[in-house]
Amino acid sequence: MTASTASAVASDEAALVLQAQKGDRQAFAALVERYWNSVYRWLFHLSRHRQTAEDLTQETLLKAFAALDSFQAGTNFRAWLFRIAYNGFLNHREAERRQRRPLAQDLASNDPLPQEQLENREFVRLIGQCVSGLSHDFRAAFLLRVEQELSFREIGGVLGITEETARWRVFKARKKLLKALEPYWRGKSS
Amino acid sequence: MNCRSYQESLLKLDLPDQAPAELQSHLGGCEQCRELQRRLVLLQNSVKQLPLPAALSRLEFLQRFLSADAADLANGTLTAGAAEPGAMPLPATTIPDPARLKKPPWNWYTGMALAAAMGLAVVAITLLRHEEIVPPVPGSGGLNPMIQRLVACNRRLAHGASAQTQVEALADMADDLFVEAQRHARSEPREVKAMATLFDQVVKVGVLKSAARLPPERRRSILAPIIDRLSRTAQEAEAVAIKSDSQAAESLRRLADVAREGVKELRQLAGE
Repeated sequence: MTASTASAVASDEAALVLQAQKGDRQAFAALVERYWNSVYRWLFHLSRHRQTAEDLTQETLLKAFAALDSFQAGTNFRAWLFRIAYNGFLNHREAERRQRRPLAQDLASNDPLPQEQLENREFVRLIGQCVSGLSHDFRAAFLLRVEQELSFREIGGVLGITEETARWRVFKARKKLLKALEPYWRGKSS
Repeated sequence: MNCRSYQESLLKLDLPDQAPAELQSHLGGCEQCRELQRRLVLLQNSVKQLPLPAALSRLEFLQRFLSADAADLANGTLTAGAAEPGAMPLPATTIPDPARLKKPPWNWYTGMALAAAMGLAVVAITLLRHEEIVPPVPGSGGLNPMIQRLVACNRRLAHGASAQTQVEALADMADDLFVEAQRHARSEPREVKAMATLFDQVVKVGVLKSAARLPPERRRSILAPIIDRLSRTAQEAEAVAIKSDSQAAESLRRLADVAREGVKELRQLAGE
C-alpha cells in the first residue's frame, strides 16, 4: 500500500468511526466488514478453535460498538479493536481455566512435530503447527506484528505490555520458530 | 559486531527484509546471516498464508446488528433475531456439523444465510458506492427498507420453496453477483471483493447445500443448466480478471475458483 493510499484509507476510516460514534450503524457495519477477517484470523490463531474465534470476534465488535464513545479520534482504531479482542480472549481463557477445561493450545503446545510433517512439502502447514506451539503471549505478539503489521508500540498497547517487551516477545517468537523449523531446513539442504 | 550480534539485530527488526545499512553491508558478505534473513522473510510470508476456516457468522452478525434493539447494542449484547442460548452475547451460526444438518433447522439456516447474503449485498453495494443511504424506517428495526424486503422475500423462499426452486433461485443470485462484480471490475475493486465474498457464500452455503437436498433421480436434469452457467462464470471471471487491476483480478480469480469448485461438487451430486 502506498503512503497516499494508506492515508486515504485512514481518513476514510476516521470518517466511518466518527459516523459510527454518532450512532450510524451502517458506518459501523462498514468497519465490521473491514476488520472482521483480521480480528477473526488473529483470534483463531490464538484460540485455535473456529467457534470460539467467531464468538469472540462478534463479542469484540459488539463491545467496540458499545464503547465507541471512549475511542479517541486520531488514535489507532485497529489497535483499539485488537485490545478489546485480546481482553475478550483473556476472559475466555480464564473462564475455561475456572471450568478446569484444558485449553486446546495447552494440549497442542506439547505435541511434538510428527516426522512426516518435517519431510513433506507442506511448509505452510508446518509453520501453522509451529506457530500453534508458541505460548499464547508470544503467538499474540508475533501475529500482531506479522499479520496485522502493528508497530511494537501498538502491540504493547494491545497486549498491555511495554514496547520493549513487545519487541522482545516477537524476537523470542521468531527465534523459537526458526529453531522449530530447523529440521525442515536441514532436511531441505541435505 | 560479530555474526551473533547481527543475527540478533535481524530477529529484532520490524521487517526482516528491511535491514539498516550497516546490517545490510554485513549481509552482503556473510552467507550464514543472509540465510537467516531468507528464512525470516520466508517465515513472515508463510504465516500470512496460514489457512483459516470460513467464518459464516459474519453475514448473520451484520444482519442482526443492523436490526438489533438500540438498548441491547448499548450494552454490548445482541438479542434480536433467532438467537440460540449460549455463553456469548451472540451465539454464532457457523457451518453446522453433519448431525445438526439432519435436523429441521436446516431450512432456517439456509434461509438465514441467503437472506443475510442478499442483505449484505445491498449494504455492501450501498456503502461502497458512497451513495446516500436511505434512512431506516422508524420502528422497522433500523434496517434499510430495501434490505428488509429482500430479507423477507428470501426468508419466505427458503422456508416455503422446494429444493429445486431454492437451488435455481440461488444460482440466479450467484449470476447476479457475478454480473455485479464484472460491472465494477475496472473501477471499484472493493465492490468486486465484496461480490466475490458473497458469491462464495451463495454458492457454497446456498447452491451446494440446496442441491444436495434434491431427489437423486432429478438432480442431473435440474443441475445440468446450473453447472453450465457456473462453468461459464468461471471462464468469464478469468477473462475479466486478465483485464482488471490486480486487486479486482484477485477477487475475480477467487470467484472463478469458487465457481469451479461448485461445478465439481455439483457434477458429483449429479452423478456425472
